[in-house]
Amino acid sequence: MPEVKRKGPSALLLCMMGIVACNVRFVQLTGAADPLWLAPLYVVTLAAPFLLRFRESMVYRGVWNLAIVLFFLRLALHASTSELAFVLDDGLMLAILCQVHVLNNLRKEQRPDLLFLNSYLIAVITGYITVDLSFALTFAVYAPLFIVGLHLQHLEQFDPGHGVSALRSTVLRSTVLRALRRESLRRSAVLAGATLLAFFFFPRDFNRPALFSSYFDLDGDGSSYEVGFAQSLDFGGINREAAQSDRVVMRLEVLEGDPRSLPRFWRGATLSEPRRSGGWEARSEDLPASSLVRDPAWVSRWQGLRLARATDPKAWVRPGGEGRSRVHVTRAGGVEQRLFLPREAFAVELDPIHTEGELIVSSDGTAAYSNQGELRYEVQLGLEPREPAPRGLRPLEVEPFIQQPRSLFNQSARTLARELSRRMPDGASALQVTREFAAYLATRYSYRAPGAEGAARTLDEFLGTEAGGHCELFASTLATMLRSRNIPARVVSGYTLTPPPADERVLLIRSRHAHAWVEVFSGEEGGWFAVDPTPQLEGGGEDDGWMGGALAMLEERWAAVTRFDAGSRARFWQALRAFPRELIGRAESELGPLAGTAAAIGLLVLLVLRVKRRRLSPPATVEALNREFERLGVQLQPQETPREGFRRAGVGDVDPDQLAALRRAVEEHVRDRYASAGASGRVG
Amino acid sequence: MRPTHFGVKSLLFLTAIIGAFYAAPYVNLFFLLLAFFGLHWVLCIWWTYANLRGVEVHIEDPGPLQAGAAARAGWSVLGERRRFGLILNVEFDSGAVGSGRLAFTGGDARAVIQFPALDRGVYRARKVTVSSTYPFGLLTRTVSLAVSPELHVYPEPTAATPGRLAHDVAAADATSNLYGAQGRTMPAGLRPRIEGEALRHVHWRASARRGSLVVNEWESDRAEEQAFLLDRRCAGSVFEQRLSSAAGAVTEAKHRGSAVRLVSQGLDQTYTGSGVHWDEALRFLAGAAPLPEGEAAPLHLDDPSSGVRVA
Repeated sequence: MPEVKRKGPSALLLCMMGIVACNVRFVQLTGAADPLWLAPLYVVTLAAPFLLRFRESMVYRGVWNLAIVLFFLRLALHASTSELAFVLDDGLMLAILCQVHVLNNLRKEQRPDLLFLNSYLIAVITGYITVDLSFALTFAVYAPLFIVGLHLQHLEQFDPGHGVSALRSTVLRSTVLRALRRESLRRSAVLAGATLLAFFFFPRDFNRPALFSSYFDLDGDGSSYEVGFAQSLDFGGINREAAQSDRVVMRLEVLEGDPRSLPRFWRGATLSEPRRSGGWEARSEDLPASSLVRDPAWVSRWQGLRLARATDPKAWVRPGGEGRSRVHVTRAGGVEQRLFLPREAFAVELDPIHTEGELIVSSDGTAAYSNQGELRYEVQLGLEPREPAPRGLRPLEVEPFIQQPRSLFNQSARTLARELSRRMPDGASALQVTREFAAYLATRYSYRAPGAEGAARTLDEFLGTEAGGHCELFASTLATMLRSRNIPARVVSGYTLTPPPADERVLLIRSRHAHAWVEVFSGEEGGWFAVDPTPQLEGGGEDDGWMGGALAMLEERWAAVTRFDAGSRARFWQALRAFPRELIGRAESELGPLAGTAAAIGLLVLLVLRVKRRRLSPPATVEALNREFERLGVQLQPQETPREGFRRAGVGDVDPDQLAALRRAVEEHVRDRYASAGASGRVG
Repeated sequence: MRPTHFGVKSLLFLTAIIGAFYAAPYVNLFFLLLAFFGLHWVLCIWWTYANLRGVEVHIEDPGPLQAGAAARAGWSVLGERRRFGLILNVEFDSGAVGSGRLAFTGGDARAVIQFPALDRGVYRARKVTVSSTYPFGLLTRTVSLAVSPELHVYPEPTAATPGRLAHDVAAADATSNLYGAQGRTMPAGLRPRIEGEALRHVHWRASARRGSLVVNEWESDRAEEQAFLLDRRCAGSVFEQRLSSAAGAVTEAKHRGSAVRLVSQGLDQTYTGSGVHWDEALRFLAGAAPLPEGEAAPLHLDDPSSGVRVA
């Protein structure tokens, strides 16, 4: 039997290269290291088949070890100078460097145990930091590589170097590898299925706190944060990096009406209370947990707008509304309990699947649902509510919205407001002042995404320097300026959407579409109206083509996984139980009662027959073998093996092409039947 | 079933991430990762078990083995079910262990089991096990098999010295007969010369034709076969030397394809390729035990009916 002369890297090495490359990708997704740092690691990972030939060289190993030591020293130095702020980032870099080191220095007699376990450790740690779809997709590649790699590692001990001749035939080796690959991929699928089953059905507390949370603050503030909806603003020091996330937070489906006429601002919370640190937070009256907002009526006391309670406790309707369009909203689950509604909403109805929670409407017209998790509701949209001008503003009601922030940061805003007011005619209305201020901000200050290089960190820096800022800074500045002129104003936090094309009835709102704007009260305008002083907004509802649509769908599904909770599980159960009924119901409605049932039974019978036929029918290789024998006019005798039949067929005047085809068929059959091609490895 | 070294490390790792999972607030993704790793352990138990479920092994008879030399025997797994990564261990009463590996089974896959160098004797397998760590290398499952192969290890052969035998000498070798020295054999053909054979036996003309040395091969009748008298009334190294000489005579006869008659206490048997095989003689020598001095001689050497001629 000929010795195997290996050409190129072994299957195990290829597998390990894939695992390490996935690890580098995991680290890249966390943003722990600059891609410039990671690029050499990618290169060295892919160059492993070439570099491994030097692994016995002292110089080569010395260089690697020196690199590790130097990086460790850098980590220690960095930790000592930055007070451990970047220890996680550096630790991840060190871990991934060690992975690449192990890959490129693995000796023949060494087992890559460490590489496998370390790779999973990196997956776990990075999975705790980043939860977006990119992680899921990378893990979907990593997991089969991990399982296949374990199989191949196992096989490695049976290599020719260990005195076993079973794999010394090239054909045999490739056959074993093929069988092993098939087995390991099948096991990967089984494992993935079992994991999903455990995920859906394993009983656990979705709101479990950390084990020692009462002793330690394990949440921390992190070194970066994700741009998204905020229930409060804080400018005490924006020194963290911000990540623009494409996570889908809402899916809007326009059931009725023109999608292009959908309102732009979808409110989540109003922030009327200035913070000492320079930020904003919701008034206690506007918080969902307060007793006031549990008032079942949808009431805006300030506007005098009063809504009647609907008979259905899961639906609130504003009387007298005129519906222009209907939108079904699916809000991803998570820590947010808020419903996102435009001011034009006059009726909200939760889907019937929500049976456990309670819809709470706040006095500012925002709403929340008592349970976290995915939420589905239908919104009817009409004209923006307008009330006749109040006869007179009561001081006690105005006071909360003209209260001046006591922060030092806001001095510049007040000064700016005073200077701009001097240019305006005396007696300018609140609307005029607002438009003037907003236009000034939008034209004189540039937009910089959160965390972008050069972006302002404080309100003072935003107003006093050329550094641009993001929507929260614009909105805070305008609200402060307006309040300094005794115009009631509040900051609103929520999401914006860009009107889609007319034929696009499904819109996705992502985390990065979070926005802050200002609502101003004006008697002339009949109440509160929205003003957006931010000059540039991130795009929304962009058309990304079919690829973008597919990614968005995946993101949506992934968000359903990461935000899975008890409510989601209850809905899942409900949907599972209802599925057969729904299927039959749909068939009946489409085909008629009898035809529907008959179709269902017919489908079942077909399925059973198909499974049965698959069990009874011979494998494809046997069919191919019979076909080739028939073509040569040879009939296999009882007890005669295909090999013997092949030899018999080769006697006499036979078309060489047909004979070659028969030989291939016999070899395929032997491989399929016995997972080997026999001792000689070939039929001849 | 027990964890391997890698399995122990992996278990420690699993314990650590379970600890981390509970030390941190609940996160769905962490649960998914933990479930994947935990289930890969759970399923590994089943898959490792299933890989050896109902396994049956056939160990080929290696025949008599020579003492002091490593030996091999073929083995295969019965049935056509695919199994991966099997290790066969054969443990003998003496503590010696033979082992063999089979990367996969199914069809005609076959591997060899290697035995260490053993002393003369008959070794009965105390325990035959087949084990596997497939598929993940985390757990080892070992299955005891109901087969008990026997190894017959005959003594290391030494060449017998013709014409040096006496009445009280254990071995009576008639190797001189091989070359027709007694004038009662007929040439049967030519064969390649064996290292050590006297040059006078070389057939020079045929050797010149073939380009390599060949010698005449003689066909002897029953009365002139080689015979070896083994008197076992001794002990220790003398006994072992006699056995070695007897083994030398048998292996040489086997090598030449000629008959050999072995005479000892309770034994008088001619071994050939067609009748009782030479391996039986070697098996006898593997298990031969010394006898006390008071025992009878194996044969009356002066009995003309014995057919044994002592040179």
